[in-house]
Amino acid sequence: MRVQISWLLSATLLFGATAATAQSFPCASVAPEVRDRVREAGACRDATPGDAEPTDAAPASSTVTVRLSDGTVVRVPREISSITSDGRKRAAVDETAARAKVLPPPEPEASGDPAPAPQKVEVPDGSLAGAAGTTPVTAPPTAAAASSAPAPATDVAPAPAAAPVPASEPTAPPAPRGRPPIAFPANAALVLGAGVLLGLLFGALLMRQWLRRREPAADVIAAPPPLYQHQQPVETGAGDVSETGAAPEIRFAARREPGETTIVMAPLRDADQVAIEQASDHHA
Amino acid sequence: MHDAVRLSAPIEVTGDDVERALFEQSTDELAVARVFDRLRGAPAERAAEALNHALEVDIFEVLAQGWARVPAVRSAVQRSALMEVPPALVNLGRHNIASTSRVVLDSSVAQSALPPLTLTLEIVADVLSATLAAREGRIELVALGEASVVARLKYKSVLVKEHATGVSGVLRDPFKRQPSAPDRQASVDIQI
Repeated sequence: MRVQISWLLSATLLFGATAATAQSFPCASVAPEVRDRVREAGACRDATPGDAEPTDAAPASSTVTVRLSDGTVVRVPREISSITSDGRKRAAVDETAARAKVLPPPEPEASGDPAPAPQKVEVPDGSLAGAAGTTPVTAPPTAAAASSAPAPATDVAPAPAAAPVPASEPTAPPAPRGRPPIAFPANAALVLGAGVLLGLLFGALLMRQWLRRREPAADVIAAPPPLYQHQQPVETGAGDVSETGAAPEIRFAARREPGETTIVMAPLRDADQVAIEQASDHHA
Repeated sequence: MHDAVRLSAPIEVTGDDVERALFEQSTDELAVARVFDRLRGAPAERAAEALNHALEVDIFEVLAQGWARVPAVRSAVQRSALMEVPPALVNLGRHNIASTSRVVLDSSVAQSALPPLTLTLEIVADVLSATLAAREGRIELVALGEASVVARLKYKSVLVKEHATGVSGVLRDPFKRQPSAPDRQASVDIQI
């Protein structure tokens, strides 16, 4: 019964780990330092055109567009603003997003300085928040080339030149997401924990089986060697002894087996060392 | 009269003697060495009691077996067995009779038998003189002179017990034998 429960638990853990690792996330949400390694490991997927252009209204309505100081426009999920209230960088992004909704679309001709063409980095889901919240996300290379001083996205101050929100950007309340923003570390920890648990479980099962197989052999080894077995049955006679209950029963029996008898006559002192005389009833 | 012939002091061993013998045996037998501690003390005393029963030697039988090897005695016994003749008296001068036999002590501990303890009993009797009578193919002791007996109990070459005693219960003077005392015939097989 225990073995069945253990196997059931193992299967459950394995299924959970597999389900958790099956959800891939975009590589754009990974820090650039480890992005290549994560991509090689297959733990993330690159953004596809389908991901860049949401097909349904729900994902599009749950994002807000943020224009960075270098002119980069980033679409950020709305829920980021609700969960990144503890960090200065996250608060900046949240504030930027809030202002983006309020400010009217700027007129490029108003400044007189031709603003660089806004380069949009579309992120399909909210995983960007995790990356933005953990490491400063630099602008894409193209944006860096266009801007003389690229600044991290999180360092964007509530600049007055905030990017205008396009009219086509929906501002609907975000839909609830089931996956936490910080997906990669959680998945890695889950996989690691599941692996350790499975390893321990299988190790325990193997040890249990090994001990079960070892028990009979250990009994044989631990058994005291048999005493000398006499071929003939032991005679029980007057030497029988009954020890106390704790002490083993000890019995003794002794016998005497006849042997040889020799006689040595002393040196003859005279000729009649051995004298034989015939007795007679008459003489008696 | 034969019933009265006995050793002045019987051959006896003690528990210490048995322990010594068992110790010597344990050096040869691993099974004894394993249970040697259990055999010490009271068990050894009981083993000594068992051995003492086996050491109750009939000294007349030992002496008669030696006398039967004397040609004169043998022929007299044979003649008395074949013919109805008056008993023949045989006088023996000083002689030594040596008898060797084995005393075996079987022991078991917890229903497991140990190797038997085999001891060698050597009895050497120094007889000054003996007067024998051959009747109906048997030997009768008429008179026995001074006799000393030394008994040695050995385990292999190790002496376990040495006992020196004499023989009592016999007439020293054959002419003073009491007719009321019934003579007992020794059971000595002699090849005819």
